[in-house]
Amino acid sequence: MKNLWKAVLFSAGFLVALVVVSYILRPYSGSASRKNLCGFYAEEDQSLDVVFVGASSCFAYWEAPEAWKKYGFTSYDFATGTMPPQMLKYCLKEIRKTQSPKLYVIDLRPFAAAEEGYYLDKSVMSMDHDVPLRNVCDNFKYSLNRFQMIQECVPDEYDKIPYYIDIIKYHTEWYRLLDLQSLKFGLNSSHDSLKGFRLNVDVAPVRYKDFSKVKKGVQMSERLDKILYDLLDYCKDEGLQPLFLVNAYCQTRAEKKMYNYISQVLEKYGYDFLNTNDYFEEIGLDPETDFYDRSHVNVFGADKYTEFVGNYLMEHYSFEDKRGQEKYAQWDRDYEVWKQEADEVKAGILELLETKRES
Amino acid sequence: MSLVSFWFFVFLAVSLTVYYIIPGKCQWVMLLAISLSFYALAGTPWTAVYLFLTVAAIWAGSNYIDRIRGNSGKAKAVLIVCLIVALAPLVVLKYSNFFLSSAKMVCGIFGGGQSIKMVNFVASLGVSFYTLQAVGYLVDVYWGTSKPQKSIWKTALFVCYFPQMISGPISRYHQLEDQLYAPHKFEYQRVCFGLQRILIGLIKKLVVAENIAVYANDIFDESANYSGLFLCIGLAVYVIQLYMDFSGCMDIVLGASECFGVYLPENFDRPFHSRSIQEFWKRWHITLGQWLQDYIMYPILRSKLWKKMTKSLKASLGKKVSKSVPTYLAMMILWFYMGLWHGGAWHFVAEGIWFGAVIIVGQLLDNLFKKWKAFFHIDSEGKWWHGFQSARTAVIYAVGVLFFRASTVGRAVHYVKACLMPASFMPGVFIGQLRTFLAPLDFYDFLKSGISVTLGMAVLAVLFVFQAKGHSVYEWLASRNIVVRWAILYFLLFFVILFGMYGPEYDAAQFIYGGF
Amino acid sequence: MSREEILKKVNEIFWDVFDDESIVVTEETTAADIEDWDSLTHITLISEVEDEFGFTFAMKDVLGMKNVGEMLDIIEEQI
Repeated sequence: MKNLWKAVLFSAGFLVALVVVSYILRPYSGSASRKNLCGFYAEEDQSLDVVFVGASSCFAYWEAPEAWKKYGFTSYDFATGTMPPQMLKYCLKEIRKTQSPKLYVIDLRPFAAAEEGYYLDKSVMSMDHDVPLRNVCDNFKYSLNRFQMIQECVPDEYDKIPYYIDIIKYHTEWYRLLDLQSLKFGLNSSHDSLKGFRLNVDVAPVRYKDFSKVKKGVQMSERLDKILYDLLDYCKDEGLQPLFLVNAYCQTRAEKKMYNYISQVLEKYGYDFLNTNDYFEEIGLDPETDFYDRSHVNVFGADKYTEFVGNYLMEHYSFEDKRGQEKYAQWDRDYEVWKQEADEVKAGILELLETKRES
Repeated sequence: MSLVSFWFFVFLAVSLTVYYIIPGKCQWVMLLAISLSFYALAGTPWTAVYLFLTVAAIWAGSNYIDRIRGNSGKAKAVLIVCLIVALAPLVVLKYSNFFLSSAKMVCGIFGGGQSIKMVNFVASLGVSFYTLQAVGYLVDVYWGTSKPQKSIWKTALFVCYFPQMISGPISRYHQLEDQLYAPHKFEYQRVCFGLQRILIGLIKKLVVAENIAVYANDIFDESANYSGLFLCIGLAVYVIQLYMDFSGCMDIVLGASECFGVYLPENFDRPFHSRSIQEFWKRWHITLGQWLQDYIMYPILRSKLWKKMTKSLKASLGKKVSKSVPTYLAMMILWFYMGLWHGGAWHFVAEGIWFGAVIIVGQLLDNLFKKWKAFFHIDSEGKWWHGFQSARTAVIYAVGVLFFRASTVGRAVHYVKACLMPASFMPGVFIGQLRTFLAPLDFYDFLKSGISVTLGMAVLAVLFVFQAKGHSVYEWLASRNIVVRWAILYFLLFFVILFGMYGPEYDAAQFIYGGF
Repeated sequence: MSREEILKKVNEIFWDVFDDESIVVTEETTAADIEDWDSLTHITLISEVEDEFGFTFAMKDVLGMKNVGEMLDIIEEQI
């Protein structure tokens, strides 16, 4: 009997240590995906009113601290780089473990990115590629949901063991155990003042084409269609009433048609849909200064975008104004941190614009 | 399913659990089932037909021979027939191409042989090992050393017992018969010792062998760029890699078997401690050397043909020659087969012949060496002399293993020649080659490898100290208090997990001896 | 033949095989006691004993005998 206890305790101790070491070795604490998801886990339970779920089309766009300051509702960007659309459902499940937001805002950009290929070379960052998949699963805490997500979303041809047990892949970076930043992420949770938004000192002019008049809808490929319906059915079964959102970027005609198609499907389910590209001018985005590439705005663009979408949310949904409440005092402090960092980045961007103008 | 894969450990955990749940009497049946499933998972399942053929041959042969023991002529005939059947899979699967290519070469001399094609047979997992073990058992029954096993299923278990299937050891029937079929109660400490031994094997294989393999392979594949001292270092690194790989595999195998309560024979005993190459082969791949000695050399030396040879030599050339020549001839046959066992190609055979030749020359010059030692007042028992002998043995082994590693005899000879180029020992040349070697490497990867290997060797050095003193490190660990013991075990576990070379960042390499 | 006589004869064979007339074997002598007694010389010893006493050892005895005493036992049985 004593031996059984020894064996159990030894194994349990080993597993706990293994989990912590795995979390520490996960790459890398400076990446957007890791900061965003680990920051989410650090949020207090049942404290979020709105959660945005998606890709960089969320975390480069929706400034949760600004929304807090302006409107008094709490929100978060649960978003990773090039989020594969098949993982959206599992993200919702993960969020629902600790939060019950009034509104989920689901990013539709991942569908377009998966369809056409974000980069010219489709094999680089497709929805089946190792990097986008791991951006999500290697930032989830170990759980049954994570196991199921890997089971369903990682292609069957891959060896899934290094996905389930990610330390098999990352153990080679053992020096992370000596890095303070990585150690902070030892419980896969680390407070993020920016609430999942990622700042970036960069600016580049883009060419914008207005396709808002294109009304035709073109069906997606069979696989993506299935993923969409699967996601919608999940929302229906769980009684969620999400808003499906497309961020404001230089969408192509083909992408616009795809979004049109999706909106038709959403109508059948009675879900809300908003393609912010239809309101490009209203938002007031400047193609010369507000973007850093074809599909991402910089902080200037994000300011305008957040105001527009924020107003939209306030118009269509009601949220309790939590400003001044003792429980949410931390959000005020987070806003101060956000303001400082955002101002620094803005200054940097302006400098860049100056140098570009000069040359 | 490699012995260092995640699935092997799952397999082991499941097998052990099932093994200890069922009643003792049925445990050997379960062990057979486990071994057959291992065979199906780790090899190509349908090749089991070869395994069954060998088992059937030795089971039928051993029982029949035992019954007709009085009739020696008939018994011998049955033995030969069953040996042929039992050995057939090994010979056909492994050596067909050897015979075909040699035939082709001979025909080529006479201007023919173009139509001879090579074959591509799928080998049966562990055929080189289990065939020898099975044949040894049959011969033991013939000689009366062992009683035959009446049950074909128990015989099957002896032949396909799963820990041995990848790289041996080659056991004798009397070593295993009491252990395999007996019930085994779950003994916590025994299972712990087994698991700890597996951990040691993982350190040797994953932390040391896999890491240095990258560099040894680099030097061997690009050997044209290097010469002299650099090539010697490359060879030395390869020898260390081979030792760590093979003995690490043995630790995993013996440790796993220990968990089931079956103690397999050791295959390694501090081989680099050897004073001579003969001693080396009693400390490296021990069971193979033993097997070859008992089942090839002894029977040859005691055969009528050899006795006749000895007599006629005694009459014509005197006693000394009559004693040495037949022995040396038998030895060369043994070494020829030792080389051939490693693979059906001439460079493998060359390896065996090299060792045989060195031993024979050593024996012939023995008196001369004794005179020199006396002349230089060398103390045979001194530490320095032992060190010299060990180094000399290691070099002899290294040259032999070069033939094992190189893909042809020609390449091996070329390598040796390059090693001996005097110009290449100049520091300038050496540094130049060092630069060539380091150039394509990633500095951080190299540094990480270096740290892993150094730490791994340090951990193993502690183990060697224990072995040298004759203590069991497992007993020592068990006698520490629980906090110290667990701290050490956690340290070693995480040491392997962090510094081992496995996972998608590396190729899942197989054990070097596992291809047999 | 008495056991002592057999032992004496065996001792002489040892002198012959190992080229050393100072060797004294007893019932307890094993391979560890004599420097050059390895697996090869063992076979030579066996052959010489077989020639001297006119019988053949069974293979299991060749491999199984642990000391000179056991060898004497087998010789006694055979002659």
